[in-house]
Order: sequence, then C-alpha cells, then structure tokens
Amino acid sequence: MSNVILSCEGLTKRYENLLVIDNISLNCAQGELLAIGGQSGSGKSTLLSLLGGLEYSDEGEIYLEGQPLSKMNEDELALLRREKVGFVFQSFNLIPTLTALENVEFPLFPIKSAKKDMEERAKKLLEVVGLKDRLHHLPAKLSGGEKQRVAIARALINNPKIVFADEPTGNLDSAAGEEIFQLIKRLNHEMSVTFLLVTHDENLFDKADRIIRIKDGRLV
Amino acid sequence: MHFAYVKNELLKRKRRSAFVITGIALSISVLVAVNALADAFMGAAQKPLQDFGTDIIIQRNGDTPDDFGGATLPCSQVIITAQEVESLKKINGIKQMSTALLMWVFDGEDYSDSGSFVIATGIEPGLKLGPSIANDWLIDGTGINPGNAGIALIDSVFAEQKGIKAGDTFKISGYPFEVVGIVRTPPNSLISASNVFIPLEDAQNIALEAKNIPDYKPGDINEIFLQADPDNLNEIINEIKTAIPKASVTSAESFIQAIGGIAAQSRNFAVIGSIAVLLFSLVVVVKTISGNIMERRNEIGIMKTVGWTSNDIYRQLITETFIQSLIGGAAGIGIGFLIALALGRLQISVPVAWDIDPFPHFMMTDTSQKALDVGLPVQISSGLVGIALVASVAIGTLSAFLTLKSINRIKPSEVLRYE
Repeated sequence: MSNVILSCEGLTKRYENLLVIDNISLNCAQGELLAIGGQSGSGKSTLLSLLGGLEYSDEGEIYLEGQPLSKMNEDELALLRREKVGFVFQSFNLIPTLTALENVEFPLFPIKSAKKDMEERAKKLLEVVGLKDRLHHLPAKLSGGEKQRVAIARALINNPKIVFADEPTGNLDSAAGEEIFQLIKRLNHEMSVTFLLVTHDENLFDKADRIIRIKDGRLV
Repeated sequence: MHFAYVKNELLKRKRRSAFVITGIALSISVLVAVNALADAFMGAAQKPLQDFGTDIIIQRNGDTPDDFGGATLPCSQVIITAQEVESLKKINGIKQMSTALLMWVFDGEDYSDSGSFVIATGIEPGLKLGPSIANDWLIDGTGINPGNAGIALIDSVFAEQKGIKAGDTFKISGYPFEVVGIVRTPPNSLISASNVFIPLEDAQNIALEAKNIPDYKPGDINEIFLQADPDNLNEIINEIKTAIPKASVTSAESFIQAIGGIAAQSRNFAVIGSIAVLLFSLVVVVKTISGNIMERRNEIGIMKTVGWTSNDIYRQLITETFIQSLIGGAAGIGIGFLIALALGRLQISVPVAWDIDPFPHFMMTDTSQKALDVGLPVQISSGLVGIALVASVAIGTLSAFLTLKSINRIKPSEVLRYE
C-alpha cells in the first residue's frame, strides 16, 4: 500500500481481564475512506480510540505519519491530535454554550495567533458543510444533521491528515444519515482527507473505499 | 484560554456562576464587615485623643495634696520636671509635643466650697495639640497667642455659672487675668477641658508661689501631649516610661482596654472571623468547582480529544474561576460596605479613666461626664479593599488548583464513548 498515513502492528487492549482488541495490525492510506464494521461490543470503537491516540494500547504500536504513539505522553498526544487528527462522534459532542462558528473554532481556541484566519476558515468550512446561515446558532437550535455537520467542520478546522468518525450517522434518521455520509465522501474526495469510519450500518459499507470487519477484538 | 469561551461559560451557565460568585461574595462581605468593625473600634478608641491632635498623653500619679487651699496639683497630675520634658526630645518618632500645667485652684475658705473652685490650665499657645487647641473652640472674643501674658479664656459653661464675659477680669490665686475670649469645649474633648485657660508661663508663676505645690521648680509642668509615629507607638511609650519614671501614659490602646468586651477583642475577632469565613468559602467554592468539573466532564473530554493540553484546560478553568472570584470579591466588598455603613450608625461609650479626667469627683459639670459617646467611624480602607480582592482571587485560584487532579483523571475515550 502506497502513502500509508496510519498503521498499527500487533495492537492489543485489555480492560482488566477482558481482551477487547486482540493483536490487530492494519494500514490506512492517504486519502482513503476506510470503514470498520462489526457488531456492538466487537471492539471497533476501542480500536478507533487507540488509533486516534485517545488511549494507550497494552501491546503493539501505532504509527501516525511514521510517529509511534506509545512513546508520547497525554499532552504530546493532544498536540498531535490538534495538528493532524479530527474526530466526529455519534453524539456530536458540541459545546452547548458556543455557537456553531465557535464550536468549529474550538480545537484552535488555545492557539493565540491567527484568530482572524481561524474565523475565516471556520466560516468557509461551515459554508462547505452547508451551514452558511447557521453560524451564530447555538447547538440547541440546530437539528441532529446540522449538529453533525458542525462536528464535521470542527474536525476539519486544523486541516487534519486523518479524521476518525465513530458512528457518525448513528443518531440520525436514515435521510440525514445518508446526507452526512455523502458529505464525508465529498470531503474525502475534494479535500483528500483520510477518513476512518466506525459504523455498524451495512448500507454505508458499499460506499467506502475499503471495509474492515472486526469480531471479538479480531479482524475477520 | 479563550475569552469568548470564558464569557459564554460564565453567562450561559448562570446557576453555576451565581453559586460560586454568591459563595465568595458572602465570605468577602463578612471579612470586610468584621475588619471594618475592628478598625472602627480602633478608630473610636483613638477619637478622644485625635479630637485634639494627640496620640499620647503623659502624666504622673502622685500623692493627694496635704491641703486644698490655693493652687494645687491633682494627685494624678503631679510634677514632671523641665529636665524630664527635655529628655523626651531625644526619643525618635515623636513628631510634636505640647506641655501644659493643670491646677486645681481653691480660692475659697475650704476645698468643699466648690463655688470658688476653678480648674486652670496653662497652655502653650500656637500649637495644635492638647489643650493648646483651646483657641479653636472660641465662641466669643480672641485667643491666646505666643508671648501673651495676663489673659485668659473661659469655658462657656463656667462663664455662664459665674456670669463672666469677655472683657471682664478674673482672678486666680490673687493674680488678675483679663478674659479675652469664651470657649465652648467640644463634648468629646473632656480630657483637655478646663474652666480657665491661661498662658503657660503665667500658670508656672502661680505654681511657683503656691504653698501646696512645694517641690515646684521653674519650667515644670504636669501634662505632656504628643504626636508620635503610629507604627512605633509601643516602642515610643516604653522609652517615655524610661525617661519619666512613674509616668502614666495614655494612648488609644488604653481606651480600647477601657471599652473592654468585644471592642477589646475586635482585632482578634476580625482575624479569627476572617480566617473562618475564608476557609468556609474555600470549602464551598472547591465543592462547587468539583461539581462543575463533574458537570463538564464531557466537555473536558471533548477539549482533550480535539487537542487541548492539560495546561490549556487548566488555564481556561482557572480564568473562569478567577473572573467569578473577582466579581464575587467586588460584590462582597459592596455588601460588606453596606453592612459597615449600617454599623456606622452605632455609638459606643468610651470610658474615661479617672486619672486623665481633669475634674475632681466632687465637681460635676456638663463637660464632666465620665464616658464619651463616640460614633463608630466605619470606613472601608483601600488596604481592606485590596485584601478582600486578593482573598477572593486566592480562594478561587486555590479552589481551582485543588480540583485540577480530577481533570487529569478524565479520559476522553471513556467520557465520549459512554456519554
């Protein structure tokens, strides 16, 4: 596989005595839309957390653009995520007190410089996801589909190498879910952003570039 | 840290902000009120002296006179020699000094004849402390100036009793004095009160001739009034007691002790009360912030996920708490000020010790009350405002620091997966 942006080898994770991820190795190429499927409890969300540097594996190694994650402390991982990674969650996870525009800017709030540029980029991203007229709406005033669009724009604010999406259509009706997936697909294509998507929605699998299935913590 | 985010968190989570601000405001208001009250008690105790520009009064207790005929000295105000006065000038921290010679003069047949009794005080004109301030109390006529001799100022109550007016001649131990002015002694200036004020040199001449002041030497006096460096008052008092053996020294502290009760303990009460409310406030704010962190667990998980470092999160939360603390502190100062204003309407009674009361026990005049009613001079000093603000910010910041560990325990993967 050429242009590998993310890879892992022998990845293993246990919660107490429960083996959740069992010796998984995989690669993900630059610009790829990779779907990870599996039943509830199969370990797919844990795999996404490990690959995104949200938690540490017990064994194995993860490389993001060649950088091994296991050697980094939590703050180093946070900075890596700020520079190279975006996240989209099933429950949107927007900050309720911030407007759509501020939510998109949120990952870069701690950076003091280039506030004007950041705002311009956030507005542009909200325009790209079709929320040009919702800039100053609070999350409570947005529909589920709109919230997820804000979350996707937020995931892209740092111009990431890879976006991890955990059940991004899970809380949406089928029409809104389809719209969100089409948006992801369009962004993946137009912006060449790599998407690693966890879902149990079989309808989405056909539209991904590649599908990985996981069962009982193992690739199948 | 992002100010728009801070502002939104404070304004859009009103209940949480109000709880922290109220907790701090209540504590700070108590701190301000008890300290203002303690300062007011100190101020009230200083008032009897401050009203005539004095920090310290020096007298010397001695024996009761053998005979009360003619001019004599009260047993609480016996002779302080000219040499002893001179020795005070060597003490550092004494800013200004005025001396006086107060005599009880019995010009009648015997001492019980209060109709012929007069309290005469020799003053150094031109000074603004002690009974020398009598010129400021003029209601008729002119005052006594440096170099004057043979003239007198008469207290208005005494003048009315005796039918004396400006221009009359008044005799003390046979010496004639022209009454040049009538003075009204302010109610709180009992300590400097007298029936008659005359130039010090004239009083000293009378004392020199008085058979009942046998040890009197030229230049001796029996009252000293000092303005002194307030920061070194205790040290100065100790040096005075060395320079003038058996000296009776009166300062604001003497009045505090005389007031007694809560007033005497007000400073200790303020310190203990302040510490107690600050600790209480710390507990309330720590609890509130801990609750906030639990409430914002998901939000903190999002921060971590999207790339906020621990320091970024700390800065954000500490800034929020800092601003809440400042608002709480300012509100507390305002509330404390209102409480202090209400307390400022109170009056306390400051007892006057017998030895600084110029009036003999057998003579009760309008000015011879034995206690002074003093309004509590409540004010909020800039120092107290500064302390209150620092305390409020310290509570907030310390509370935030005490809760930082719980932020470290939040794992984004757990929070975001199961919320």
